[in-house]
Amino acid sequence: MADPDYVIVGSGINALVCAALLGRQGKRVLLVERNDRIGGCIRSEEITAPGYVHDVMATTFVLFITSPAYAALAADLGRHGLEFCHTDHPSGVLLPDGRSAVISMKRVANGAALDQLASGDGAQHLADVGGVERNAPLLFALLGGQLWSWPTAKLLAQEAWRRGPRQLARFFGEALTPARTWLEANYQSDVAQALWAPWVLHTGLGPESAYSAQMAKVIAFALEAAGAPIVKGGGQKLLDAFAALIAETGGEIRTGADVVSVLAGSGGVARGVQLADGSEIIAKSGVICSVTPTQLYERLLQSFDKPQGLADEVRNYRYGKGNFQLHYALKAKPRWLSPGLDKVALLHLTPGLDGVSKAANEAERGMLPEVPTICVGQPHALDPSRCPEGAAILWLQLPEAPRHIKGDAAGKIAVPADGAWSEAVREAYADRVEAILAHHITDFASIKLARRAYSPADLQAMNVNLVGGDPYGGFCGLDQSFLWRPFKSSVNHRTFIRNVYHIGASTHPGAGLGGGSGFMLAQALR
Amino acid sequence: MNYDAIIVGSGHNGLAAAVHLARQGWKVGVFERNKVAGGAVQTREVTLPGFRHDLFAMNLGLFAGSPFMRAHGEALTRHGLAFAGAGDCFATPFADGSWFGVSMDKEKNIARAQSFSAKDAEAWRNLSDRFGRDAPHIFALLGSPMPSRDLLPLGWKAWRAQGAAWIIDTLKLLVSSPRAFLDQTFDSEKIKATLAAWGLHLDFAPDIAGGALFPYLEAMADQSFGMALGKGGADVMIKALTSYLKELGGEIHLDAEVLRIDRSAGRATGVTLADGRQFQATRAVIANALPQAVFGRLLDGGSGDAETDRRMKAFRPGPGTMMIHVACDGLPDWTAGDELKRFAYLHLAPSLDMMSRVYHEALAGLLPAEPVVVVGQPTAIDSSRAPDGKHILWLQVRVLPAEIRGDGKSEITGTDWDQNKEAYADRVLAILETYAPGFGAKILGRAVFSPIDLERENPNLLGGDNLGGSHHLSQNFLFRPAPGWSRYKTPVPGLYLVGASTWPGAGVGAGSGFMLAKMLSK
Repeated sequence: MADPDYVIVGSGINALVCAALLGRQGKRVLLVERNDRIGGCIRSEEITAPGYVHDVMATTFVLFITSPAYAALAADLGRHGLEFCHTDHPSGVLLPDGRSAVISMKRVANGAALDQLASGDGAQHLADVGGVERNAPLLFALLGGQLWSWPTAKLLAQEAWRRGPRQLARFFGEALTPARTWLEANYQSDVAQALWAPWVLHTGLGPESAYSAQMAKVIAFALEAAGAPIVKGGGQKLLDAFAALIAETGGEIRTGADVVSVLAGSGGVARGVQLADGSEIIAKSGVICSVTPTQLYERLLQSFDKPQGLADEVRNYRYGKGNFQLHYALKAKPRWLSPGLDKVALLHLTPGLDGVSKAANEAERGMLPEVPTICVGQPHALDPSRCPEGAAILWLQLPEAPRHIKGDAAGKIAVPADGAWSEAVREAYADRVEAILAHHITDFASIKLARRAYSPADLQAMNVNLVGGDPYGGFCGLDQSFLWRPFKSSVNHRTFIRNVYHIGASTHPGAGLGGGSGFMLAQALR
Repeated sequence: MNYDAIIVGSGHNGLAAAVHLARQGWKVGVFERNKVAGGAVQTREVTLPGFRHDLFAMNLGLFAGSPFMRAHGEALTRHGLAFAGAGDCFATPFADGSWFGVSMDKEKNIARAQSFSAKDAEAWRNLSDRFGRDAPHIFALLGSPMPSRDLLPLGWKAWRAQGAAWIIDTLKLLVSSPRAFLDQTFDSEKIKATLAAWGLHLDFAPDIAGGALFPYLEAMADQSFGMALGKGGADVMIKALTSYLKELGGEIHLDAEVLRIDRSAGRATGVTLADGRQFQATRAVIANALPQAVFGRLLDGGSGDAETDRRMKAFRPGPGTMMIHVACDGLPDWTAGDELKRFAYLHLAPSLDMMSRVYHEALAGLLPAEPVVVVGQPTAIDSSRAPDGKHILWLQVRVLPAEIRGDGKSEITGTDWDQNKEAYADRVLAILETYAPGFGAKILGRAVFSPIDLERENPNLLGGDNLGGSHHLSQNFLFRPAPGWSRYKTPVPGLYLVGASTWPGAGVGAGSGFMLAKMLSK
């Protein structure tokens, strides 16, 4: 291949979106990935037993199919074989006493179901998701748009004019509300509170975090609008479609190619990258890095003179809670003791709002949660092709795991003195989770075929950008989001080097499979 | 009877508004349901005769340095206002016998930081320099109505003086959590813990966004200006305000509970008292009370704006507080050193993690296993509050549930504060004992106020919340008490809201009362 226009370092969803779009814009793109495969957090593999295909990390593509990136790429990706599988019941909750609630993709039906839990909760739900819909242009511009841009400035000015300053202030005040405040003040039923509280964890927040109520409402809206789709055949099929599309536009993908540094050219710009084997790749137009700030500034750009203060900003960049994944191959479909849960895509097992708060806080303090919030995915219910006929797969994600373990909140699991995740701690913790799960399923032991656990340390070993097992590319609190992601000095996806760009979950609009930063950068480079 | 302005509630913001309006020639009447004026500023002999305890608020440093004081300080001094200054402001002792503290002496504080980490000594010096640059702009922000036209020139001045990066940086500080700010500023966990404790005073656990500002400002302002207690008791300030108000022709009605705010043609025109008496206000009715009370009760039938009523009633209180007042033979003999006996405040809050746990226990309705204890030593600063040679302690137990659902330590059973408060106070004093062995034997008397007792004393201390509502970002700045209503106005013409529930929030700084009075009398 002749020298590419752009070299893209990393191959997560943002890198793939960016590569595909740049390719379609006529640019020659070379994507380099240090692992033996592309995909970042998207990876599907037979990790338990033959014939069982598991999404090892990310599995739900609701943010992708609702994204501008997908809108632009859907036809091409479909041509290369990408299909999604759906269920009518994207989410639900199951409490320790067996009470449960399930939501469908029909707003009115969800309102009625919530009213069954407590009169008035249904109307509140309609008001909440209706509010997201009403505010959608402003909301999605801020959550997903280029912040330092004329269109955003213009939109804000228009909204201020249309609503009046008092109403705009009201919008922002409401947007900053923590989920606990919202749920306690507006929902009577503890089951309804338990339904939404765990979802804030999937945005890297906790129930007491500023703007967590807004994120939960956006998720409620998205689940109703688009469900909780998974890729037919496993996440690998999406990667295959992207790879085919990139190749079709003249791009190239190189795996097993570890970029060790960005090469300085004349005039303070980058001229390409150097790989671990010493070879150099020249980039005619620029280098795009889909990595954490730590990787970018402390490794790839270490030979560049950095502006004053940048080193401090890199050092002060914070990573969030770790993630723990647990996978089961089952001989038969799970028979839940509570009715109506068979088709739920993502079911949360939690004692409720206080339970989420407690577990999240324990993980933040470095403790293994006593009663973790468990997100159970049932891919077989959406996509039977993932496992042998009649069998089942469970995908468990625990969004509250300490990066570095200081102790066990239950006082039962012995923790290594160095605080690192060991195999023994991982399996003991998986046992704790399994006991909670088995409590809700008839004869779980007899249908269990195999399990496989991934601690935060295992996740980081698989993907260097998951620091301490944080799947969100860095702490998602307000002071490290929006204008300040990753740094207070950040302007869109530029860096201090004119032709080096930064995308990925560590940059605005953050984590999730929406491909937002890759999309925005490709637009900006048109 | 006719007034220009009626003030409902005699908290210090209500009194400040009354004084300033009266000084501009307005005829003002203040109506207070209790038998004593002052709201959360009360001094009383609740343990033994001769021991004068500040029941709730104690530190008057904000008031001493306030714009209101600059405008009216001379007259208030004439009416008896006097402060006892504290040069050794706050400290935290640790289990290993070490401590960190902040005094009104930068070099001393730097030397203390040096004992933990040379890098932190440097960080303290840098932070002090930064405060010198930030202070004029941040205090101007806190001293301006929110929002106001003054903010534009203010922002422009800051921009000119400090640049755009400073503005973005400061905005980030305003939304940062205490942990984020402290982690990037200091290495020593002890220095971080000493500062982070101030976050809990405004409902900011270490991980709550928006909590960084207060620990930073408190530490740096104390280093620059020290703290101030009221001479003889915090009520010296209330006595001076009421006495000066009377001299200006203002009237204070005690034991006079306002039942209703009266309206005519949609405008607030006066009040009806519980005993049936009615009073008219021709220019303004100023409610120095919680928005929940004003919109839920005093405005019979609502304000006419259902959406705003709903928001005001949903105004979220902060967590509860317990007060334990102790009369004693001597100050605690701190294991960490006798120097700690000179400090106005000590926090028994040894780590960010423990503060974080306490907060989440309280939110879930649990009595914290090891609560955060604020130990005030007023007699270290002002010996006149107790008989010769005797002392008092002002213990504030922070972040408690208003309604008990359980005990984080599984020892105290039952959910009734009246039945549990003494047992919980025992737990608190046992914690104190671990830092100062032998203190229990010095106790002469104690009086315990549970969160519910606080509310009984003053209905604005809802569930024992002494902040006038949580200061989380969704309820602060432009959004205090509700988005769009941060300039003291309400949907009812002629009716205004002041007090801790309004910008700039809690603390004895007379900010809202003074700002509203200036706006009204302009």
